Amino acid sequence: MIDYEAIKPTYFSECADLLTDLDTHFSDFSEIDKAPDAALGAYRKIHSIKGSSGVFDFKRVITVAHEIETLLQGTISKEPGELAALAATFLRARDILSDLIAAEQTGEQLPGAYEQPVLEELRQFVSAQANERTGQDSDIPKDQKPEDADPQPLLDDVVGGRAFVNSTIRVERDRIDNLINQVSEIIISQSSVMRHVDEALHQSHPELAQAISHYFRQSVSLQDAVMAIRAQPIGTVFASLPRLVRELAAQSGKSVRITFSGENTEIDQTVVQRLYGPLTHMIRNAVDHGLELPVDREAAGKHKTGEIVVAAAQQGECLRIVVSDDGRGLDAEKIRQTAIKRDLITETDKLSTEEINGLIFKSGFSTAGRISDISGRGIGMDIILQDIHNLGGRILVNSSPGNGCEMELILPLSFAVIEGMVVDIAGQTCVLPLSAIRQCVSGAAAHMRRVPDLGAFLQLNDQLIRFADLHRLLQNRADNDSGLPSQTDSEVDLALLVETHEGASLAIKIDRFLGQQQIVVKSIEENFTRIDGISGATVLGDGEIALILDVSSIYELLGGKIAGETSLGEHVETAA
Amino acid sequence: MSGIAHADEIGGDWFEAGLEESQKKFVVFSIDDQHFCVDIMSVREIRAWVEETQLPNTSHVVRGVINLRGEILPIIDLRKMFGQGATQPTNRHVVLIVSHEGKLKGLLADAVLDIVSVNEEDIRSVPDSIVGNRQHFLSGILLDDDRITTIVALNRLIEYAITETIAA
Repeated sequence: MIDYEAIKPTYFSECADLLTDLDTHFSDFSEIDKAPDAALGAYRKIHSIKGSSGVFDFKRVITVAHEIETLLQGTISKEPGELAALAATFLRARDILSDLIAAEQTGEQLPGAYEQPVLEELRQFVSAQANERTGQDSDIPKDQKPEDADPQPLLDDVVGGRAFVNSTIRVERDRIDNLINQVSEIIISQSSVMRHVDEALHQSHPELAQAISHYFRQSVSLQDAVMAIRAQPIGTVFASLPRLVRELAAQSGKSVRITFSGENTEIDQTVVQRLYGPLTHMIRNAVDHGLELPVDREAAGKHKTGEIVVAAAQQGECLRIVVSDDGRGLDAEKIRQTAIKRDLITETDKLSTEEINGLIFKSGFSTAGRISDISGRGIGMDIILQDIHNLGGRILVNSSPGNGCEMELILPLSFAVIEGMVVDIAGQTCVLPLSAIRQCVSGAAAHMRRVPDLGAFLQLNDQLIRFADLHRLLQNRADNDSGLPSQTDSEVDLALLVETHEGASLAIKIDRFLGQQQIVVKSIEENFTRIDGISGATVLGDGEIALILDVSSIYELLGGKIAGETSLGEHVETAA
Repeated sequence: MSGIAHADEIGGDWFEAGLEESQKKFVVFSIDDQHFCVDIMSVREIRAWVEETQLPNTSHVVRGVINLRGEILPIIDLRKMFGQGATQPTNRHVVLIVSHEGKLKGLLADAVLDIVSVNEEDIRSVPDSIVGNRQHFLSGILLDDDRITTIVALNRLIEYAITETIAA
């Protein structure tokens, strides 16, 4: 006896995947070289959906799927040009199908005529094809009636609990998360054990020391393997972008082509979902603001079709995604003027081209001449920046007028476990992400400089770096007797040079180094809220909680970039 | 005799004792000589106080965070919430671990006193005689002979802690 309710979740998640693939396939109908393969792929997918929907007798779903399948059958052997003409229809039909399936899942009652318009459209094309056809055979089996669809093979797969088509297996997300948590706890225990494996132990108990080290190495492998389970190819994020580009291009009257590379680059599941928003925003901006109208492009000597390239690659411990377009590029002078008008900078501020380009990420900035309903006005870029920051990454912009714009996203590959430097700051144990640390300075007192009204700086190699004395900064708001104990002016000895997401430098005073180790990042936001200056917490081997410092946030708390900071040289006085 | 049934009257298995439709159960705790209570459905567990790790830029009513089986959660000082100054906690003090909107929080109190079962119609509204900002964090009172037990409005309390922190 088949338990239909038990296999429904599998059906719905299979359909979700198939629908996503259909989206890609139908979008590919517009590309001459991809269209034939796409048509075949689409046929197989819609056939699967129809078949498995038959198991549950989802009549409305079956009807729409059947019409799509019938039209596809007749289209497979057609010229790519004809496929392109049908792309829009197929995409609309796919959307309706998706809605109908979703309604079966949630129990929502869609209006009776919901799928009528698209069914009419499909049937019109089908009968047009039938009129053309002169009774030629197709080498794909024809199903004239929904009931003829044979659900049996599909059903066997589902009921037998086997994987669907390829060698993958479905696992509930909760189980994976639980597994990851368990492994995280192992890492913490392991750190605690490793603290005791020192030279003395190697001398007194060499076999024990060796066994522990071996076990440690195996734990690291286990951890890597488990984290890899959550890894997904970044292509899953890219999947819906071609369609977005088609729609945006159509809406704005532009001709746009998008290509990808590095789709197989693997990233952690947690990062995948959070990348979708920023990437979508960036593509919208590229189409809306970056790329010119075809006539303007030709006038500038460019091909009338604008090109957007999204390239992903792993670079060391980071994921690097570059979104570039060959549009009009950023006009630094125009940005500067707008920034002055919006009171973001003053006339006299001296900024490099990169710094000017970076202004587009400030809240309230927009050079769009009119409000466009595609990207809105002035809200796009700072939201993108915030999303990327929340992922622990940064954005670099490279552009010049007429030569397009290149935005580079640099993200940590995983933000569940990071390499961290554990330090003591005024008696409190804190962690700094290793990726943010540039240099360690000892005997810093000799390099301290005080600038009137601006504070303390560290002078290194002709560079003045803002100095952060955290025990005065990280204080509870209304409570000056709690928070980190403040210190009297003691000699500054140790300092860590760190870098913020935007590439700004900061020197943080350290009292002691406690070691470098793998840090399991625990969220404070999960049960509480976001804390300024802190990006999370971790539990050390001895059970103590250590706060993970957020360098960029600390930089902002100190007042962010001071306009004219680069011209500080004239104001320098030696520390007393 | 009031309509409030106390744990020792219900008998040993007060957890299993059937709740009538219109009854609510509360966990009663004390701060100095005042009695407060919170809906038992919110309370996950009760633990002895352990030292928190302080957080910067946080509301003054949040003492810091603790690690509870791998989860980091904030500890709210109830004495401070109700304007009676900061608690000087010892391991005799208690922390009520509560769940609100799926998030865990710890409430620091002096001691847990009782579990009471109350008919809804016996819950009274907060009188105007309770002055100041305290009134905002209370959602009702229970009267048992001469004893007043005030019901804590957990959502407003937590909202305050969060809003204050964001503003910090």
